[in-house]
Formats: sequence, structure tokens, C-alpha cells
Amino acid sequence: MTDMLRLTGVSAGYGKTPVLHEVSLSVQRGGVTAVLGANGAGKTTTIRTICGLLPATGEIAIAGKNIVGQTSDRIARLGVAHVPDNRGTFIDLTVRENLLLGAHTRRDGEVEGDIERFLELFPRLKSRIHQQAGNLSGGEQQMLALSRALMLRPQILLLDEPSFGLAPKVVAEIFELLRKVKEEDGLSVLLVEQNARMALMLSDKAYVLESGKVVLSGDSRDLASDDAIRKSYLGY
Amino acid sequence: MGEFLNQVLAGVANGGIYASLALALVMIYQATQHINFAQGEMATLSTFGAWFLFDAGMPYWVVFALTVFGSFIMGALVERLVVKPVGTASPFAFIAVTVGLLMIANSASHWVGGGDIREFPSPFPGWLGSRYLSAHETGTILVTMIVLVALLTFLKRTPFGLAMRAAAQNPVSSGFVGIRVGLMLTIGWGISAAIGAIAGMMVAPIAFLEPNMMGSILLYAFAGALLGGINNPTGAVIGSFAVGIFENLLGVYVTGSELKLTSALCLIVILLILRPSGLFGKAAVSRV
Amino acid sequence: MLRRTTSSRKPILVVGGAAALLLFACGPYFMNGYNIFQLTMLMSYAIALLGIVVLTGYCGQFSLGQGAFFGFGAYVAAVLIGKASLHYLLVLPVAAAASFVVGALVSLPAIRLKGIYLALTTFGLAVAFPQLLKHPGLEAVTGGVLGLTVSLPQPPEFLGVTQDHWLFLVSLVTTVIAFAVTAGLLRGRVGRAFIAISDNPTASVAMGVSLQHYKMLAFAFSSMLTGVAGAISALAVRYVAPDSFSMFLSVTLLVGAVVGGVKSVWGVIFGALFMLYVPNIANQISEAAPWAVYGAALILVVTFIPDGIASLFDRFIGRRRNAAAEPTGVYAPSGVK
Repeated sequence: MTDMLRLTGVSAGYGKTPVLHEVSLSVQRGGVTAVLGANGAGKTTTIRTICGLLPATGEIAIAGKNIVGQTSDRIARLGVAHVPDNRGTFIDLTVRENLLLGAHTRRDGEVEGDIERFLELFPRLKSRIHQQAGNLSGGEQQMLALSRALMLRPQILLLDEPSFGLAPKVVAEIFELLRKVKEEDGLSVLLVEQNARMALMLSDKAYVLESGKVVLSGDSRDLASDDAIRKSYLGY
Repeated sequence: MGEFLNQVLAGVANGGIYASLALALVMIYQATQHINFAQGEMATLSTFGAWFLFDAGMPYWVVFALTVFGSFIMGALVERLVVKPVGTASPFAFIAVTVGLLMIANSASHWVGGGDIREFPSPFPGWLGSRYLSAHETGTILVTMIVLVALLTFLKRTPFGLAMRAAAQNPVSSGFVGIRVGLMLTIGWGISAAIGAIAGMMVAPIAFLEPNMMGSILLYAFAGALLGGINNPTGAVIGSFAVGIFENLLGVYVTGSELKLTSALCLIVILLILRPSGLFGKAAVSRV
Repeated sequence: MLRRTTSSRKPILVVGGAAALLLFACGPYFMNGYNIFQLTMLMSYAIALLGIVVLTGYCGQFSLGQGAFFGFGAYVAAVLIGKASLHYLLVLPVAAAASFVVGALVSLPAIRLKGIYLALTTFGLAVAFPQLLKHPGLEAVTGGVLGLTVSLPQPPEFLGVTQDHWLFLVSLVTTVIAFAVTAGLLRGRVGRAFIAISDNPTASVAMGVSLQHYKMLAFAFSSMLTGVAGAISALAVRYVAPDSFSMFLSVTLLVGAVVGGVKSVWGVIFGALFMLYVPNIANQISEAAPWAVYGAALILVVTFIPDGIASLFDRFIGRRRNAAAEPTGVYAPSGVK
């Protein structure tokens, strides 16, 4: 069975500066893969490259189909949902409009039902449903961003540092949602995180990036239980 | 009192014209977050196109439909061929491009129309006229209202309109939800050129069709749109009526007709200082 | 931007620049009156464009009203010489001071407005200015619709140059001063404050940059430059009339700034060349539709050289540029502030 997402020998960069060097990683269907590493290791660049924002060499395959060179909207239409590290909120549009936009590519009739579902899950969004999304706090915008991505009914979810800058309670809520979505919908997830502990708890396998290269990879449980690796690479 | 009312209504009549062009400006702003300085000249060119179709003997509403449709295509083509290659450069580059388009469109109108002033037909039946407003002036206001409602419905209540607004405000995030941003921009230009064509066909019977027809109207429309809040089609229409009324009243009662433009602008500036995002505009959220 | 050049190229630039300046200064000895006049106008435009670089390129304030300041400076010069018989050497500094004050006054309402609202207001200024000039109430001073003629300054005997040449020299000195003062201002604390305001107004305020004061300074300084430029043009053309300073001039100035590179001090030279020569060339290419040619030239330059001609030279001399910004969608809706 082909992987949901597979990067093979991918190099990418901003202009003339290469940032990623021959990165290879994969996400299995229905699996969660974590990408860890310090600031500047290339984690966000990896996600941006998958989304088509940066030119890349090598191969990036979604369910076996190579997407290198495609524009980000075409990649999204293949069922790839992205929650960027800056949330990517449409700040001048309402909360409801943000959610509707998530469903832009869908033609089925269940969009309203999905919106209801997310509002039940995140009551704080429900109370602000018609407000401008830019007025939301960081945590609320993250909930909105995640809901918006899931409105796509994606095959794979790319998450860029979902816990960044959020209070622990909010982080817990978000990770709980991710866990549920993984179990109930069989969603594949690529999770880029600095919070290695939570990421390893949620994921099946993990890769560690350093200076744009994969320096370590393996089963998440193994990595979490190996003290030496935890201390030198994961910081805890 | 009767005279005052006359003047107010005369202002309303002018305002109707400004409003029709203001809607085109609002549309392009909603679609691209920029102002198209060539809007007026493109509208004039469309109106010349309509005139030639009339000259060929076609009935009014057929010409109207063809002109609107043709202008949509023109706007879309201009976006693809001229505006898109400039790309993300800078807002100044964008302005320079629309100024260049203004000059080219104006030259094209001169070339097509010569120096002549032409009459342009009005489709509105005589019974629409009243003591205060002519049939055409009433008709213009009606048409503007119809365009306003159509535009509002499109932008606020359709998924396509939502996608278009999203694409203008946040192209990156729009790509992430699968919106073809480039296509949105092209269609946005098309729609605004189409609205401009309608404005041109409303203006021409009153102002007479000649290449510089839209020159000062663009300024009034711009003022009206900003006064109302550039992101707000309803506000733009109200703002345009307000501009029409101010301009007329100031010109008649206060400053005389040479300075009426200046005084209207002064008034608008004062209003903008008090409400910097326009009377009905939403202040942009500025969370860091 | 005033980026630092890599040290190896710096001596070449300095020597080259000095040589060019010297050549330019000696030019009039080999030219007829009309060409000297054109060079003087070139300098006038360059100074006006400097005003736009400071206000719009560096401080991010979008002004479509520079034509009004240009005209103001021109009229101040014309009135001072014609009615007040002021010595012409004093005219430029007085015009500069008067323009500075007017710029500061205009900035009072202007600094509260942003982006296109500011654009509209300044555009309104550009439209209003000729109308005010024509107003019967001011006719005694401004000469109304017919305008004023300006007598050409007489050069001092001992130099032995023509009137045109003398004006050229006066303008040259003014231009050099203008460039030096502007470059000095922009390189220092004020320039950095301008950039900070342009990039991130909220953060600037948080860091204690007084937004209001710096914006006012930007407006005042830029209108001072533009006013001086206008004064020079009045002396060169020897005539001022309301319709010479219409909204069209404002648009052409902005266009010139964009072509040269709106953030580049040296780019104004290219912008001024564009403003001076392209309309003539356009006229030669097509007598019927010169403005279409001008418009097309404008679009072409902006399409292929979006950061202005100065950016080509930046690349040539290896200036360090900011790293490529985040990739964005089709049009970055990066509004003007």
C-alpha cells in the first residue's frame, strides 16, 4: 500500500540559499508522522515545500502521485490540508466565512453539518461565529485554523507547530482533537513540532531534522524511550 | 425650500452616476486590494464600443448585454496580459501600470471616437421622469441599485464571491484551501470592467460621449467610494450620493462652481479624518 | 534602499561618480541654450523625485499630490521675483522654507490617514491646486488663469557665462546640496525611523518612534525638496500658469519615481530622464497617440524592471540586497501605509 505522503531526496531553498538537503520521509495511510528539530532546522521549510510554495528537486508523492512543481491550490485540491505556523487566518473575514472557505473545494452537501460539528467541538468559536477572525486570540485562531483545514475533508493534514505560543490547556484541547480525528477518520497527519514530547505521544514515527538534513528517524515509542536520544536531540 | 430640494435632488442625480462607477472601483478593490486608475477610461472605451453597435442598428438591450459581456472579456484579458506579469512587484508598480492603462485607454478612445461629441441613447421610458429628476436620472439610480444588490449578493452570499474576497485578502491561505487565486483576479477585473461599462452607458446620455467623459467623474466616484468605505459596496453608493449632494450644494450656495470640486474634497478630507476608514468602513483589524 | 556597497567596489563608484558629475557640470560649455534648459529641468525633476523617494519610498506615505507642492514652489519663486523683486539667489532658499512649512501644515491632517485614503486626499490636493490658483480672489497674486512671467536671472559678470548656463550652475549646486542632505538624512537615525514606520508602524510606536513627528518631518522635508524643484522650473521655463501644475503632473512625478526605483536615491536620475525624454520620444513614434506610447513604455518598464531602473544598477555593482522575502501568492496585497 503506497504511503500517503513520501518525500524522496528533496532539496529546497529560498532563492539561492538551500535549506533542505536530500530529505526523505514518509507518512503512512492513517498514520501520524512527527518532524522534530530545533528552530531553523528546516521543519517549516519542509511543509512549505510540500505545499508547493518553494521550488524543489527530488520527489514528493501524495498517494503515489508526484506533486513537485504544482501550485499550492492544485495540491490542496488533491486533499492536502495545511495549517501554517502563523495560522493563516483570513483576518478580515468572519469565523464562519473562514470555515466556509475550508470547504471551498467540496461539492457535497454536508458542509453545514461539518461547520456545526466544529462549533460544538470548540464552543469559543461558536460564540464568535460572526465576528472578524482577526479579533480572536492566538488559541482561538489555532482552533479555527485547524477546523478550517479539516473542513477540506483532507486525505492528509500538514500541521506546522500547532502548539506554538499557546497555553498548555489549549494545546491539550488541540492534541485531543487530533487524536480523535486520527482514530475516527483515519486521517494521515504530518506533524511538525518543537514540543517533542507531545509530538512523540501522538505520532507513530518521527524524523529529526538538523540544518536541513534528517539526522535521526524511527518509531516514536522507541525514540521517546531512548534516554540518550531524548537528551541530545529532543531536549528533554 | 423648493429650490433647495431641487439642488439636493440634482446632487442625487449626479450621485447616481458617481455611484455606478464607484461600484466598479469597489469591485476591483475587493478583488485585488488595489485601485484601478484606468477604470474610468476603460468604461469610456466600452461606451464607444456600445455606440458603434447602436450605429449598426442593434436594439438597446442587446447592445447593453453585448457591451457588458465584451467589457468583462476586455477586463479579464487586460488582467492576464498586462497586470499579471507585473505580479507581486509593489503597490507602486501596480499604480504605474494602471496609469499606463489609463493613458492607453484614453488614446484608444481618441482614436476610435475622434474629437467628436456624440449623443448616446437612454433606454428609460419617459414616464419614469418627474418634476425633480429626469427619466434617465431616475433610471440611472435604479440601475445602480440593481448592480449594488447584485454585487452584494455575489460577494457576500455566494461561495465564489467569498473565494474572490479571500483571494484578494490572503492569497497564500487561499491557495491552501484550493482557491485558484489567479483566476479570481482575472474574473475580478472582468466584473469590474463590466460594471464600468454599465456606468459608462449611464453617464453618456447625460455627459455626451467623448473621450474625456469620465475624467472628473472618476475622481468623484473615487471620493464617494472612499467616503463610504472602500470595502463596502453599500457605503460606496451612499458615499457617492453624499458627494453628489455636497458638491452641488457647495457649488450653488457656498463657493461657486469653479471651486466646488475643491470644497467637496475638503469636506471629504475632514470626514475622513474623523472616520479614517470611511463612514461605513470597517477599521482594519491590527493585531500583532 | 541605501544599502552598503561591498567595499571592493566603493572606490570605483566614488571616482566614477565624481567624474560623471564633473562631466555633467562642464556639459553646458558644449551645448546650446535649449539643451542646457533641458538639463536644468532634468535636475528640477530629480530633486522633485527625491521628495517622493523620501516620503513614499522610505516613509511609506503614499502621496499623489506632489504636483501641488511643485507648483507651490514655482509660484513662490515667480511671485517673489516678479512682485517682490527678491534677488534670485534668495528665491530658492525662501521657496524651500515656504514649502517646508506648507508641507508640515498639510501633514497635520494627512498623518491621520492611511493608504488609499491618504492617496485620495493628496490627489484632491493635486486637483484643487490649479483651481485655487485660478480663483478670482487670488488673481492679484497669482495672475489667475494667465499666470505670471518670470524674468531670467542675470549671471555675475565675472563668470562670463550665458543666462541659461548660470541657471544651470545654480541648479547644479542646489541639486548637489539636495542629494547630500537627503542622503545624510536617510542614512541616519531619521532614515531608519522612516523605514521602521514604513515596515511596521505598530512596532515602531512600541519602540518609542514618535509616528506623528516623523511622518510630519517626511512630509515637510519632501515638500521642501519638491518646492525647490518647482522654483527651479519656474526660473527655467520663465513662466508659471495653473494648468502646468495639474493632477497630471502629480501622476507623472509618481510614475517617474517608480521608474527610477521608488526606494532609491540615485534612481531619481533615471526617473528624471524618463520624465524628460520619453514624452518627446513618444511623440516622435506616434504623433496621433503619444500618450499611448508613454503608457506602454511605462507598463514595459514596470513589468520588466519592477523595482525601478536603479535596481539594475544595484545588481551590477553587487550591492547586498535583502534576502528574498517569503514567497507569496499572485499579487501580494501589501498595501501602502
